[in-house]
Amino acid sequence: MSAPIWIADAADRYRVDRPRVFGPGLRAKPTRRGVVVLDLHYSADPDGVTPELVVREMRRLGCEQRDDGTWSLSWRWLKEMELDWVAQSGAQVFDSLEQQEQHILEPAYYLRYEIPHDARPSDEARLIECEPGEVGPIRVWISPLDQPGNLPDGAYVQRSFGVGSDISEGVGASDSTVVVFTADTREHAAVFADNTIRPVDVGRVAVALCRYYNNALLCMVRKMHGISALREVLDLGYTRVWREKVQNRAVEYAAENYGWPKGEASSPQLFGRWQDALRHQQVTLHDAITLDQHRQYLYDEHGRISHSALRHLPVEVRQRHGDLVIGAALAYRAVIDLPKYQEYSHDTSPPELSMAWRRQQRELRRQRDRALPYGEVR
Amino acid sequence: MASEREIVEARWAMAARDPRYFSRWFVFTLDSQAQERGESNPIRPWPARPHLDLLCGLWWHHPMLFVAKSRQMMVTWFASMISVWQILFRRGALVYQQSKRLEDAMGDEATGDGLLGRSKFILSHVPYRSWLLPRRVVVRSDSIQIPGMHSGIQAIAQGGDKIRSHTVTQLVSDETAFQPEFSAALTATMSSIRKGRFLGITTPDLTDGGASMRLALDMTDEEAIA
Repeated sequence: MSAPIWIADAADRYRVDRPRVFGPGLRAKPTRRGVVVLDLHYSADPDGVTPELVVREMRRLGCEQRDDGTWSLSWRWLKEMELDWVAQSGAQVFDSLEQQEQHILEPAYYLRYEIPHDARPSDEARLIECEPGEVGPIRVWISPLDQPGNLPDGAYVQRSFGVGSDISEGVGASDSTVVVFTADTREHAAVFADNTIRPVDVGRVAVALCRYYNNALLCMVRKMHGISALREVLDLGYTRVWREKVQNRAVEYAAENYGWPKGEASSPQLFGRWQDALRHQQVTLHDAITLDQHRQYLYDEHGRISHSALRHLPVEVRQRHGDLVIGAALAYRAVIDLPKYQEYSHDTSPPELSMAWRRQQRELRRQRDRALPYGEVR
Repeated sequence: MASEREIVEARWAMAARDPRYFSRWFVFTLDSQAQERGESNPIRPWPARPHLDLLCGLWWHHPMLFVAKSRQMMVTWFASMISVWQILFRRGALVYQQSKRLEDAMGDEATGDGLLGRSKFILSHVPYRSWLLPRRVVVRSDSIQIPGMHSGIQAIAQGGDKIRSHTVTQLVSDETAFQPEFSAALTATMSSIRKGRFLGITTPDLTDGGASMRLALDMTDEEAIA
């Protein structure tokens, strides 16, 4: 038996002082930072990554086989298996929406709001239901009184709602938005978007909508103009406001700060979760404008999420753009912290003239008798 | 003729000197898709693959190693194996295993998931462990400690602040391109690890703002923007 060649004695065999190819799919190179980089392509492991596995992965990652047998490669395949770092540049951020059935609906009714011109700091906005045929700024698909369809007979629930709000300057550029989601079915309940409303007034509208929707949990951006709206919300006495979470622990816990700390689309903590929710169809969008806005988000050449209309602008400008997608993502962030229902009641009265009904009537009579003043007999 | 115990102890001595022997004789992995392929036993010996041997050699001779890989190349298993080897055979070894979230790094021993989960799996499947392993191995949800060796593995979440002020023997960072705070972690790593080791592993992605891409393609921030 020959003596083993210890790994410590084989320095020449693993030397990387210049770019070096060690075999198929195995390239190493030194870098200026002193880190050796190994590119490990799947072709380096023909026993593990078999041709059958390759074909299966190609299909799974969205590659399509043409009639002549060649493949049209997807950006996912190029990125995940071919080590192409910029394959996703120009790809849609919410590409999963294109492959799913959508549930776009016309609003069930509209709401409008009134804020008096001489409103005092404590004055809330007033919501008014529009007449049939009249269009208002708040589109509503689900009213707070609507009951979910899967309840047993006689059951009644008070549904929970989450409200997300992204705040703009209100000078005709990007929209301020207030988006309402149901907590049980996680679908669009109402949407409001306006690019001329002042941040303080968005706070008033948000509070009015929250109160309308069974005191919904409000998740509002805190950054920039958001702080004005958030302060107004708290000044109006509405305290059911989402609080920032400390996320770098195994279990999240609420921090003291109110509202969402960042408003930009590229924040992975916001959009990552929202992307997952859409990909796994955990949410249902009813608003066509919101769906359309999702299609406008693309990855740029550095992998950052950017709005297609803003791709030529600097990163700082892009980060201010938000609108309905961010509102929806914030509303979703609120609903995942909520129970499905705030109240659940079930009518348990027995059928009339049944034995249980007679017993119940007798108990009620006894209770009434006990309640009579001393000495009186019914 | 040598007894079984003598053979095992001789192999263990070789494993202490060379992690390739440790993986060959003492490491088992879990293939979570074995049942789908019609194989009854998902627990398998360490696969004899040339790319894993090369990886081991590069890791040994280059303390700062970054691996840009295709999926399913068993590199995360390699990182867990090498972490276990360090705490078993190197006195005072402190290995940090970093992923995007703490839960990802902690993983699960039963399903061989995550860096620490795989490390626990490897440790609990070492053959002849009653003969070979130290008597006291403390396994917690986020760490493994061997008090007799003063060594341990600690799972941590992403971010540079987790590394600063600690002197680690090795930092293993998994799927760095999916860690939005990898750029800060890399800066902290470069300054905190002087004599230690860094092993970064990732499939290409740009969630980290391109920090992993710039490292893999040897680009400075200015070159990337240009």
